[in-house]
Amino acid sequence: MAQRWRFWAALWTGRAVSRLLRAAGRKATTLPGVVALRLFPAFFAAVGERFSGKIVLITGTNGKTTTSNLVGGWLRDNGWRVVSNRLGANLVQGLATAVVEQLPLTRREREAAVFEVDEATVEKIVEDLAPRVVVVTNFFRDQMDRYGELDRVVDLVAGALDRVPESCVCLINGDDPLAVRAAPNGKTVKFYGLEAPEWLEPAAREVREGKFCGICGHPLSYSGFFYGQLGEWGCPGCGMERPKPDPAARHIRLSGGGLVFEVDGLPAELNSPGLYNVYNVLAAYGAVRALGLSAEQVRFGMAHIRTGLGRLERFKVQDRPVVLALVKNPTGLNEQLKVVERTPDVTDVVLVLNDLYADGTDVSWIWDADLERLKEKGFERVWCAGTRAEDMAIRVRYAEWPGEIRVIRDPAACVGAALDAGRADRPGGTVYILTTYTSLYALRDWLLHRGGVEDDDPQTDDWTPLPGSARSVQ
Amino acid sequence: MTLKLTIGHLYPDLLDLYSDRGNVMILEKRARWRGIEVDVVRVDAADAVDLRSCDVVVMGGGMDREQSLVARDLQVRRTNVEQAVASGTVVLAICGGYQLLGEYFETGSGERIPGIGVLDVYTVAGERRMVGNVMAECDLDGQTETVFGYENHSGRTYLRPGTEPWMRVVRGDGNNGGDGTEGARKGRVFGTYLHGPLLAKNPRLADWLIRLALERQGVQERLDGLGDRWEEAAREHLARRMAELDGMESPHVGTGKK
Repeated sequence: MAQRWRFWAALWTGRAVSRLLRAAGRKATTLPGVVALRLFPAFFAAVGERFSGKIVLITGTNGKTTTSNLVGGWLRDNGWRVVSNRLGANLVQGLATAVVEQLPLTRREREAAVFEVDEATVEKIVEDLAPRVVVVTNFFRDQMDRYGELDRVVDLVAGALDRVPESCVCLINGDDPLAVRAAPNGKTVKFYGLEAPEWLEPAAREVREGKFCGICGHPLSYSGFFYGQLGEWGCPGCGMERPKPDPAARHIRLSGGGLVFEVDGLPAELNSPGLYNVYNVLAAYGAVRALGLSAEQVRFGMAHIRTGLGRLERFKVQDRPVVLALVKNPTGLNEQLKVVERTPDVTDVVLVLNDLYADGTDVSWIWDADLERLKEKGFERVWCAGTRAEDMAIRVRYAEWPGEIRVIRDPAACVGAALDAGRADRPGGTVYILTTYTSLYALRDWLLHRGGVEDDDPQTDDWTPLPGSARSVQ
Repeated sequence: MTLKLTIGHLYPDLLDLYSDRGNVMILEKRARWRGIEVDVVRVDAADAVDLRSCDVVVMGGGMDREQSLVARDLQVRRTNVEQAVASGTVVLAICGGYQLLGEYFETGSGERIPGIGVLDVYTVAGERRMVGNVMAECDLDGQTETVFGYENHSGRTYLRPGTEPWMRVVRGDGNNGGDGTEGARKGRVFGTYLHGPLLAKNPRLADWLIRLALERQGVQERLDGLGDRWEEAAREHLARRMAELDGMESPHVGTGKK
């Protein structure tokens, strides 16, 4: 009883801090959580108890935010109340802050917590939260300045999965041999993946991770790749192979600038052509099914999937189509470059490279991405911005892109110049913006301010209105 | 007669961390842009390639698992590497590659992974990871050249007495965070911890290595300038930025807005 009292005292104090910060026009994504955890160290255990298992944790390198937005959206569509860290603050303090700000006073049957969790943070909270579902999306090299090598990151997540409760379902991307390496023994594990041989690429033009078997160390063999090291893999050494996908995506094809496919016989439709998003849909589908939604309950949602907030988001600014996408590691950048390649009539590409802590202070990763892919793409100009704009310009120079390189440090000024420049020659041409994390929300605000979302379908993932100050925070 | 430069890329699959493959791309393009023909030879583990056929050999860094595989393969090539170096081949090794050119790498548990000893250095695993932008200085034909890169290593490398460091650290940790040295050089063999990739923001260093590699064919080539406008701007900006970043630790900084 005393424990309950202390939990709510910590929560209300955190909430007061949050209100004060917002009233002062400051961001409040971590401090309220820090305060609550300080006042009541068993905070997460109390949260776990409150949700009695209805908690989904989503971890891995890429796709965490999109997946958790999909899970939260489908639950809300079905009348569930959802607590989630929607703005991607995915360390311990960020999760605590989300609870502090969103937890309703009263319990109800249909409520859940959906958290995207940093790969090194899962192990710290998994026992306390006792989740029903843990999703592992994939592992790619990312921010080695912070975590060291990828093998270590995989080990951290594997360690966390070993400690999930009996009732937990581990949903793991089976096409990624590294994610499979993290699968625990003696727990319920499901592997999702693509049944789409027509999408397999034979060539290894990208830098790939996980070339060796996690069990015997033998080099893996592939019948083809979907992207990165994701594909149909097998180990000639010990016979380990890609698990049969369940749930699986089938009949994937490009349609009207997006993708259509089937999951468990349900038709799905995505508004953007990135194949990686099919994995996010599969993970989200698996998660909500494990929480108890029926296939019918997600039928509508699956047929109208919109990628959200700065994830290949489309805008219309001064009548010019603008696309904004987050890039934070080589594999993500490769996937976005493929999308640019498939988009007709791109006149300007804007690349924003920052080296703040949240972006990763090592910018050398741009050399691991296959920028050479756009060598043949005819666009007019490439614009580089951000704290490390020149590093990007050098990379583009060596990739020998056809367009002229221009550097403007300030991201918004750079996008503005790109919009102006194209108006003279090809006013209908698309401006593509690829940015690292710390400029994403500022640019999104800027674009919204000057134009608007092109396709303002209510299905985007910001269901609940967020206060203005929360828009541009981490 | 057209000139031809042969670049050997050692273990492109196993040692592919931190974008060091960029060094190969940069050497290749900078030579091609001047009309020099370039052949890039991939040398994977167990490939039978005589390194004497290469004018320059480039090695990157890798993860621990991959690195031990390389250590084994490299032992087999030891004599061939020595022969190539004697024939004038330039060797550029980064991070893990650098460590393996030394005498040994001693792990945290005291196990010694043997290197091939073409550089008189040895490496010992350390607790603290040395991570961040580096500014260093090296000598290029009597001129002091400022070099910019990024380091990320926990191994500490020490030079045997009489071994020449390649650079002196201005900002950053370098070989071991203690003696102010960065990298090592012995004749035409160069080792360094600097990623970035190393040659991206150091075009004069890249050209100097190309010239050194061409010398092997008896060619004293004066390379035309390439108008390295972004490189110069990047160097200038990074020098300023490093001062700024020095005070930055917080994981929750800014939104890119000023």
